[in-house]
Amino acid sequence: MSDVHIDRLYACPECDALQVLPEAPHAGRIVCWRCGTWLAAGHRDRLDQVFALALAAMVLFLIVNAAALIQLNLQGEVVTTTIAGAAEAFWSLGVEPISILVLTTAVIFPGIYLAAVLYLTGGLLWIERSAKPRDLPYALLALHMTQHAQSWSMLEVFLMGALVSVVRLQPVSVVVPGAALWALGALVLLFATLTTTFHPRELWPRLERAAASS
Amino acid sequence: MSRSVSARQMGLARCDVCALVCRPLIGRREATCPRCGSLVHSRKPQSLARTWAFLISGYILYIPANILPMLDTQTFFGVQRDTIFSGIVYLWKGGSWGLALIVFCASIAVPLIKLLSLTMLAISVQQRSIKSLYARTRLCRVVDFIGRWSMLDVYVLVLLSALVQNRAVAQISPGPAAIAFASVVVLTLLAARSFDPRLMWDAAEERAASQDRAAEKRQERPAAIQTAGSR
Repeated sequence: MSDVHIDRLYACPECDALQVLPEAPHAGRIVCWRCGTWLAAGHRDRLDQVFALALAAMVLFLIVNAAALIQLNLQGEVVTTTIAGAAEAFWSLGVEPISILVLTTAVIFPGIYLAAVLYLTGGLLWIERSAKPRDLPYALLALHMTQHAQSWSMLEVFLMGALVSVVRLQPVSVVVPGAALWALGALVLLFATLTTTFHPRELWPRLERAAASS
Repeated sequence: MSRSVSARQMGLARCDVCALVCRPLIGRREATCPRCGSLVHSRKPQSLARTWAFLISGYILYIPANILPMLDTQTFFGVQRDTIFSGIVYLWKGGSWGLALIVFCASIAVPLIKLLSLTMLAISVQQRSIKSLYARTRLCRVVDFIGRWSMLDVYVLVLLSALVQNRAVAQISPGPAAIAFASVVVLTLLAARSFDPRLMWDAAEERAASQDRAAEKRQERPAAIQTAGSR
């Protein structure tokens, strides 16, 4: 055991079995030998890929929140809403906690997650490429954020909810899916890819190296 | 099962933020990770007590969430009060079977499956069960994965009532079940997050360790007693 680097020693988050991670193969995944939990993706050193994914997702995220999600035509009266607009309109109906729940899970947490991943990957890539290596400030805070924000981001569920709403509104009025709905569809795919590609565990050795050489 | 070593048995713990397997730095009140400084818990603190608290509140609120009306729709023809179930029936009759099925799974089946599975898991930990550990760990992952989908009806509720509000033709507003249902969703999510599957494996390790001790004791018995047992 003495010749194993500490970064390859791993405790399974589900069953706590102690194990040494194999050198990552180029494809496939690494699973816990005792309980089968997915521990790590096969690839390593894909920081630039993660950064590109996060950047694209961020652009889509901005579109999703700026454009109209659903457009109604209620007998000549045209009504549109954004995600935040819907949460705001709901606020006046007397069930404020639900407004907050929707705003946090569909807007705030996904936004925080994307911003934190962008900061971490972009910052690290920039530091590694620049001539003068240094510490990435607030890296720990950003890592904390990605962890909590990811499990409370529910964009894919929101997309399904928007689709169900479109169907249920059909008898009441003419329903036009807005630009944000299409963008949301693409964002959900990118978000899922991002969460499976981005592993904070792989970030630490590089953060430490950048800090140590400063 | 072949013998394994958990981080806890080695006096180590996994940092949840940077995944370092470490001997936590013991401070005055808490243990922290030597690499990133985050709080380190070998097991989630008060896992079972918290899980039970969230589960019981979840069970209680599951009843009003399903009995009371979720959506009130006012049109020229009067007020229609839809519970979660009648909303699904409405989708089904309208010909959207696929959507009806998805909403049924997300709003009625998933919360109930989650509550029941977590109850079963919590009881199995308390009984120190060592049966089907692999399957139970897998169940934890499934519960974690499907849990978020019960948010579906909350989103539908907000979108519908936000869009059709104070209009000439119709008005949709949340019913009394709305807050109960949203609470059930959040409570089951919290219950799943506070349950620590590693506790199940700890039970198996304790059982294995006590069997080892028993085996050692048997070996230490005087030879006379052993021969007396065998004819």
